[in-house]
Amino acid sequence: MNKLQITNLQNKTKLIFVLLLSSIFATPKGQALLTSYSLLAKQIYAQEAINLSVTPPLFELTIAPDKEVRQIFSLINSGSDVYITPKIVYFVPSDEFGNVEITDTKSPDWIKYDNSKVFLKQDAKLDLNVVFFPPPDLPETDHFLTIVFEAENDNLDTNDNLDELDENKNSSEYTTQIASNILVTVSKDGNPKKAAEIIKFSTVKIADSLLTPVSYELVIKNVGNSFWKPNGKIVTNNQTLKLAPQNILSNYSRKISCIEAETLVPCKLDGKPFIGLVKANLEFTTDEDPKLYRAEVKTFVFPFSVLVIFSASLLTLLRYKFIFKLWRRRD
Amino acid sequence: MRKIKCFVFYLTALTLFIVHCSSFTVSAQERIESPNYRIIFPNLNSGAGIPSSSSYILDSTLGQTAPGPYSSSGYRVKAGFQYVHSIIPFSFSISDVAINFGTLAPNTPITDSSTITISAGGAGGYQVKASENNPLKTFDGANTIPDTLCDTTCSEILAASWTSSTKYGFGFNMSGDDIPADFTSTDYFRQFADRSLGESPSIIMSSNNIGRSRTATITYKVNTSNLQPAGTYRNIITFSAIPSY
Repeated sequence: MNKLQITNLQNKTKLIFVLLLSSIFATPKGQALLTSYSLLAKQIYAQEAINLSVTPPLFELTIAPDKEVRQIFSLINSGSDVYITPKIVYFVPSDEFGNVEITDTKSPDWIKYDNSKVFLKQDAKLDLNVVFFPPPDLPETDHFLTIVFEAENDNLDTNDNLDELDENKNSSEYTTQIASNILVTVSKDGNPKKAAEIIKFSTVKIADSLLTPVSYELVIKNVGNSFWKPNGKIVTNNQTLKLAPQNILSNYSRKISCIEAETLVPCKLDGKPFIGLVKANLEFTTDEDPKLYRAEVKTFVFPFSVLVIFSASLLTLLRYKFIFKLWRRRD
Repeated sequence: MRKIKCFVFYLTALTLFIVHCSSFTVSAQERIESPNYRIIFPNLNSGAGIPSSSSYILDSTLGQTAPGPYSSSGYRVKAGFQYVHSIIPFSFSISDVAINFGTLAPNTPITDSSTITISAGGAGGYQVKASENNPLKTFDGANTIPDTLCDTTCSEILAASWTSSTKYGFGFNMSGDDIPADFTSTDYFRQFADRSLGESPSIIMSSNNIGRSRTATITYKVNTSNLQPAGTYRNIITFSAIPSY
């Protein structure tokens, strides 16, 4: 075989392998293989980052005294190696949007969990088993808690490691807390008193049918003994807005959004009549309780912008007509 | 030389082919139950499946309905947000584990940044708060780089412009998604809430609605005068990420 024939054979062999590789990477497994190689390069960078996720992000429990429930809270570390210290503390609502202010008050003794520091490597998961076992004589009340996972980087320097003459180490190091909220109702019969007060259900009184969106602001207060979710809707002439089942804690208010396909949205009408009165009827219950809470607001809709534009155009036309007449008289 | 190149090429292709043909394993979660207790494993993704038994069905959306009425079981549990069908984890990440300011020269501000990402999976709002254990200080605590007062005045809850190279201290700026409104430009800075003074952590990111992959950049700034004693200045910044209830 001469040199040219050898070269052609080599080229044909290469082409076959290229086609073979193309067919491999065209398949889902092949693409997963390519992705895993690229992620490997990214993982080398991610080892220097903090990346934590916790599930479930919210846990709700109604429990009778002298009963026991266990729940696992999982923490996944997708960043650099860290030390994790869990703690469960009480929180208070900080606003009307469901945000919390965690306190220094620790959880009661009947909530048990292992609070020792744990070393969590990258891509490792911590499953924290929390046991709820209220004693027989515990008063029937709510407990608002947050489970906080405190993360310290593996290389966090303490003062003992500092070299005070090394000016190149001026730095700020990070610690991180990631949390999940726990709402507990202690109830002997599972039917604590639930009651609501509509603090605000309002909208604009007059709206431009072309320019002004008609949206509803709803604030509800929980005047009962236990947290609950509003179960209801806002019904207008031609649209129904479903209320988001957001928790309202006892003795606190919350601004309630609407929901559309599992997404929180403002309570806002998509369409409205060109001219007319839009009545919006609010109705909801507290969870599955039978008592129905109602309220109504009205909006008068009119195409004011169209009227303004028409009037301005007419005035302009009349003005120029008047000027034209004056000009003709002068002539 | 050409033969060596060909050999390397064929060896690489063969190796990839063998790896491609290898199988992958998937670990599955289980549910443990006894007459005295039930351990509930949350779903980590929508494909994890919903546990069930012959006596009841566990629905991760609506939570568990205990076998029998409350009077016999004595509890009801719900995990996740009730208007989202899957239990979606709450995630928080920062691009670094520390910020190294290097050597500090007088009247020469140093800046550096980290990226913060929050994902609440579209289920409710969140807040991220930040605070420092104390101002930047030396090992023996004798010398401190104070928290900035910006060009005029700023605090841990109100940002102000900081552009002068003769105004000293340590502060931060926020830019990106869901940041407080007082960060009107990249020149606006706050000081960190100082826990050694009893100050509460301040909000640096928040949203009352969906929180799906929201990203912001925190930019630190340090500036010292020629009167600042030499030394290694350090502190610890704590970030707290909390979902809404």
